[in-house]
Amino acid sequence: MEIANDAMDQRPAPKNTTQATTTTTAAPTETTTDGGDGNAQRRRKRQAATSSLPATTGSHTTTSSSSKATETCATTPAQKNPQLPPGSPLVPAAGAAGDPPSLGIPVLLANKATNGGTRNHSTYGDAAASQLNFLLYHVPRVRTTQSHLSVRGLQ
Amino acid sequence: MSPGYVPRSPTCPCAVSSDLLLSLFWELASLFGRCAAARSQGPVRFELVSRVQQWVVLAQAIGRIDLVCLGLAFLGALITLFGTRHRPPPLYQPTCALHANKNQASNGAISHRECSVQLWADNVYMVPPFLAYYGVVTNNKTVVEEAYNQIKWYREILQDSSTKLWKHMSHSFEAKDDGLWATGNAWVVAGAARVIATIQGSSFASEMSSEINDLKTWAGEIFNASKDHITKDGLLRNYITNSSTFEDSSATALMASAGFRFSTMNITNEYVDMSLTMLAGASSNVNSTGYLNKVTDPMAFVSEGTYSPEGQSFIILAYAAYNDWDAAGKPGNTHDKSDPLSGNSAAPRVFSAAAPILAALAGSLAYVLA
Repeated sequence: MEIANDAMDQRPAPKNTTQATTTTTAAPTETTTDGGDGNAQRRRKRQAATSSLPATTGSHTTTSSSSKATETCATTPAQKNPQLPPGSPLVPAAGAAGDPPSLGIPVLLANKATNGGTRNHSTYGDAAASQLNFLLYHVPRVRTTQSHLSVRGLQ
Repeated sequence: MSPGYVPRSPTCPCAVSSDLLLSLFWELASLFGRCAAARSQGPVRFELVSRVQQWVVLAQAIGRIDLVCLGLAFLGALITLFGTRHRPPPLYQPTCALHANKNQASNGAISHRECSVQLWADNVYMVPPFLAYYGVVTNNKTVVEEAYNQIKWYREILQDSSTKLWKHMSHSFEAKDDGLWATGNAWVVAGAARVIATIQGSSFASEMSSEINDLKTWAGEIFNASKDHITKDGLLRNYITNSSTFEDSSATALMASAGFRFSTMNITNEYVDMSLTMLAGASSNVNSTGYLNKVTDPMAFVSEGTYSPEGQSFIILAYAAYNDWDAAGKPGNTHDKSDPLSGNSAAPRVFSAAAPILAALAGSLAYVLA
């Protein structure tokens, strides 16, 4: 819990756009299969419909005016694409995209332990989801040409 | 990068120790069999709590860890976690296609760095286990498969074709290391073990058996390639195949921990023998105050350092894995029956089960003095 809280406390303050209410089409489907009672099922569904999903647009207008480091980074289609869900690392890590996710499992457990609790203006679940989105959609990936370059460079 | 993102010094204790924290947490909260048992509540919870208390003590062993990072609230959280009947609201499910490049016959490895595309072997311990765990918690097989794919793609690029060991990094302007770094290879086998454990403990276990088998094979490549390079002291060198580099007990301990885990997860006992040798070797470098010596400098991977927070956590991981293996009846043991860490192992046994306890005591002292 302290691990998770320490991570949460280091998160940048959430932007207003991430609090945007979601449209019904963007609401996640109920896929939890663990054996809860009917009330729990209904509660989960209600929360799913009203929870603050990451907004699909808007936050990147503020990104463009953020740190200069962003401008010097290699940009990727994902980072430029407002269609993709915004995400952010759990903690600042000096450009190491792979390090903050190692705190993700404690945060996921904290989410469960607190029954979806909030810390530093964000729920643990949202923080973990934001970390996931950051990894999946915003951290650059090897692509065909880069892959060849990388492999050639290594041989 | 998000607005308000302020790069911090990598010497921030929490940044440095994040892997360590996860390592400690892993022992408690991964799907290595104990969580499933803990859910049944009853006496198991007390066993779990006592294990948590052990870990809190052990956490103090790590000189640079801020105890705030792993405190009693953590204990309370776990009790809550396993005692509560409430469940949190469902996590966000990605709705977009996971791969922007999914139509390319290409490698979709996610960079370890934000500002360039660079793969580090270390990543296998840090990112795929999170993806797998997220996927299992949200019952989203696509995310679990992404964990597997990331390891597959990292291997495609980082594996050295002749030795089968993994290079530390692919090329980028940010850092450079083509070497077959021992810690990097240990990160990979331990990361693969975590992903296997998570999948095994999930509802996807049977339908992802071929993925588990691949992960086993890929880890096996590293174990088998490392086996022949273990020194007479029972250690791996900092660059496994380079006999001019120093012996590193830190990476050795991590690889040993993974070898025991492959046994306790009922994957294979094939690496038990070398893991016993490696753990005995690493243990011989636990000094009289409980610190693991002969370690890679965690801030300069080509250099030998004196102490390493990673190394301390790795030796604890190794003994935690050893203890589970011991409790499972020492499957695959070919060493001394009563004391596998002595006998025909390559290295003299100085500490065995006492090592983590000594490390804890020394760490507590260091913490108090600091």
